[in-house]
Amino acid sequence: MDHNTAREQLETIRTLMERASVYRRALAPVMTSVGLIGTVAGLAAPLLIPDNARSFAFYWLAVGLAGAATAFLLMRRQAFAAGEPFWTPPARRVASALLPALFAGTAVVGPLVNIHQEGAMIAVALPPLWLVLYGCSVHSAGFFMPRGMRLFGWGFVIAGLLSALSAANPHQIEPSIRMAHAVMTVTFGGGHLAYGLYLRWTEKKSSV
Amino acid sequence: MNPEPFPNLDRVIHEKARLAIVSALSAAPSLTFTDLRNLLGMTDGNLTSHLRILQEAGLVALSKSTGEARPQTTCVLTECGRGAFTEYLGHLEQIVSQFRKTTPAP
Repeated sequence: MDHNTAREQLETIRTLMERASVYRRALAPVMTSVGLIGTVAGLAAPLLIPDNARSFAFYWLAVGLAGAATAFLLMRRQAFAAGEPFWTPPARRVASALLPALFAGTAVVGPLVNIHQEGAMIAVALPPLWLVLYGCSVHSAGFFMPRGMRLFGWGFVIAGLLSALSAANPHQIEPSIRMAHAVMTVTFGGGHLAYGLYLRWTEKKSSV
Repeated sequence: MNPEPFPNLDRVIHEKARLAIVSALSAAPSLTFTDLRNLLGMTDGNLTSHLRILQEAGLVALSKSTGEARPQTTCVLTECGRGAFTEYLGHLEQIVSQFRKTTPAP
C-alpha cells in the first residue's frame, strides 16, 4: 500500500467515525425538550402577547430560537459527555443543510409583517410557510442523520400544506391570531413532543 | 521501494466495506443494523455478508433484541475487533510517517 492510499484510508476512517458519532446522538431528549418549549409557548402565547401580527411573528421566532439553542446545547453536552468533539465536519454538514430554509423562514417575516398589518392575513400565511420551510430544512439535515429525520421533515411539509389548504377553505372558521397560535402549538410543539416520546419509547424497547 | 511494505495488514479489516463497518462501530458503543446500513449506504445482503465475515473472525458481535417492538439486530465491535482496528490504524500511520521521513521537505 502506498502512502497516498494510506492517507486516504485514514481520512475515510476519520469521516466515518465522525458520521457515526453524529448518527448516534440521542434525539429523544432534544425532540422532547423542543416539543415542550413549543407546546408551553403556544399555550402561554394568548396570555403573554397582544393579538397582533407583529407580536405573533416575533414571538414564534423567539420560540424557534429558544428551541434551536436548547437543541444545540443538548447535542453539545452529549458530545462532551462521550468525550468526542462536537463541531465535527458531519455536524457542520447538518448545520449547513438546516440553514438555508431556516434563514428564509426568518427573513420572510419582516416583509410579510410590514405588508400585511392585519392579523388574519398573517394567521393564514405564516404558519404554513414556516411549516413547509422547516420541513424542508429537517429533511435536508436528515441525509446526514438517522432516516427517521427525513420522514419527520416530510411530516412538517405535509402539515404545512394541509394548514394552507385548510386556511384557503372558504367554509372554515374566520382566521385569527389565536388559530395561528393553535396551529403552531399542535405542529411545532405537538409534533416534536410526539416524535420525542416515540423515540424515547423505541429506544427503551430496543435496549430491552 | 517495496510496493507492499506491510503484508501483515489485517485482510479481514482491509476490505473497503468491512473497514467502513469497523470504523463506524469503533466510534459508537453499538449501532443497529438499520443505522449501519443507512450510514454506510449498503444493501441488506451486502451488509449481512460482511458482518458475517467480521463475526466469524471474532471482530464484531451481533445480538438480536426480542421485545414487543420489531426484532432488532445490534452490532458491537469486540475487544479483539477494537485491538485489530487500532493495529490497522497504526500500520496506516506508519506508512504515512515512513513516507514523510524519506521525502525531503519542499
